[in-house]
Amino acid sequence: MNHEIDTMNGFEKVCELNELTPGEAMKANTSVGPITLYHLDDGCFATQDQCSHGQWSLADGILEDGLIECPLHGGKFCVRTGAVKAFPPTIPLKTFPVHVHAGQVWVKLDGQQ
Amino acid sequence: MVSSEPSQGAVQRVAIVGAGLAGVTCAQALRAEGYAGEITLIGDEAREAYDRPCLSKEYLLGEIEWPRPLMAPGWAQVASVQELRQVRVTTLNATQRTLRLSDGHELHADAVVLATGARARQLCIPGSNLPGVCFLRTWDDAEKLRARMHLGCKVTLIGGGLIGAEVATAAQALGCSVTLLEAGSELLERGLGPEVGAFCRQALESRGVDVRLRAAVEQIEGETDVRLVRCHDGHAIAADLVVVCVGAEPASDLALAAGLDCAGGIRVDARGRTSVSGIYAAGDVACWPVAGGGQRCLESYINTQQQALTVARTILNQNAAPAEQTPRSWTAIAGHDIRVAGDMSLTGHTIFRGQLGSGACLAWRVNGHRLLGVIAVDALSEFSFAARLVERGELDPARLHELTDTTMPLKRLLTRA
Repeated sequence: MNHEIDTMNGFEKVCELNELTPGEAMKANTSVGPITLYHLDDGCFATQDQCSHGQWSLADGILEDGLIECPLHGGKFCVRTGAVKAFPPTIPLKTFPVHVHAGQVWVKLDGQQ
Repeated sequence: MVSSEPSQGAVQRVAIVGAGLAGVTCAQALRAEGYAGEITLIGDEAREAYDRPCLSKEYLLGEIEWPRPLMAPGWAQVASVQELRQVRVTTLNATQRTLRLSDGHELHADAVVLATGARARQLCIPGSNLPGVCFLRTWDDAEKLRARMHLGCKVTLIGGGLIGAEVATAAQALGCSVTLLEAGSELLERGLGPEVGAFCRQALESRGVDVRLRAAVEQIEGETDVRLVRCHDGHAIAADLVVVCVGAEPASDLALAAGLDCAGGIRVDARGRTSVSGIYAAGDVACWPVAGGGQRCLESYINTQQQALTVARTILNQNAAPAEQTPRSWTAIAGHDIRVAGDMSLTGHTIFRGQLGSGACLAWRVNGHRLLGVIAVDALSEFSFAARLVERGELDPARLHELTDTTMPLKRLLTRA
């Protein structure tokens, strides 16, 4: 896959905004592996793709009230902060800054938000 | 019932009895909801709260060295939760909300949460006290089983429910010679229905587990240790280890003695309120209203958390949203990932999306306009959406075919509805 990387500030283009259904989660591939993107009313957010407890993509989970629920064991995380909101996970998710510009979704993958 | 209702905002002291998933979640939820008063969390185990579902799976298999702790070390201090370990509540005065503790102390609270869980049901037959007769409920139980399940060990399991099937899976993988005895006509029938039950039985059998249906156990025999299990029909099964997996019963003794309404667990409303004002229950001990009608103890990880959260919110606001439960659970049997939402035992019929035994398959329980339950077999990526459809419960009979149409993504059914 060809990823456009803006070397000026470390943001990487991961998809078009119209690929993200409002209110849903979607897996996206990046130069450093998959992440999960969330399209909420107040913007787009990005976290690591795998749950911090079991090994499964959070993009298969239900997004509700800003929380993503992992399909494996029902663990929940705040997609804005990565904070654990329901067991069994105890480790927060890594989150990544997202910038939407001209219909494109850019994510800064090197730093935690 | 209304006379001694603590008024909103008056709750300054909460006592939580039981420091398992329900108790810990409730303490955490109280803080998350902004409660700043005292929380005392009373548990009878010496260990910090740990994750239980892995005991019958990864832990028994030796894939993990110890069950994961529920909380990061020091969380109680950070959250200002006073933790009492290895302490039991000996008596509860429900109207005064006063607790007497096994260490001699007495505690008064504005709200008491009973999260005492469940214990493994005992088998009242001759020989059930022999040393090699085990249960699986706690970390200690699992440790004992793990130590005994060595290569070639003859393991006989009594009870073909979820725990029985999970332990059979683990014992077989560890190289034991496994016999699984079920009194009914199919394994797992109550929880998973006859079709998925039969599928699991065949999967276990193909791995070498000797499954015997309609097997009524009469007694366990042995001199110093267990030697064999004898059935009503005279059959004898040699055994080095017997695991009794005949279900759990709610640990409601304290509540019963306190005069709370108990019948198959502590009876609560959909906000977790017991028959006595200011006393709540959550988790395996709570006989909680179910979305499909009726109420029961759910013995489910996900529902326990929902109940604990609901109780925390109700303590802070008696008008908090009620939360009737849609049962949700997961299991792993003979290499298959199985997840359940809703109730497969309700009156209705079962329709399939995909085919059992050939990849991902969903079994739906439907009745007219109601979607009652779903079982996902090796269909993890579809389960969240299937479970949510069951939680909604509404079903348009004209669109029934979409549930079984594998080309129709469930996510679309959910967003369209």
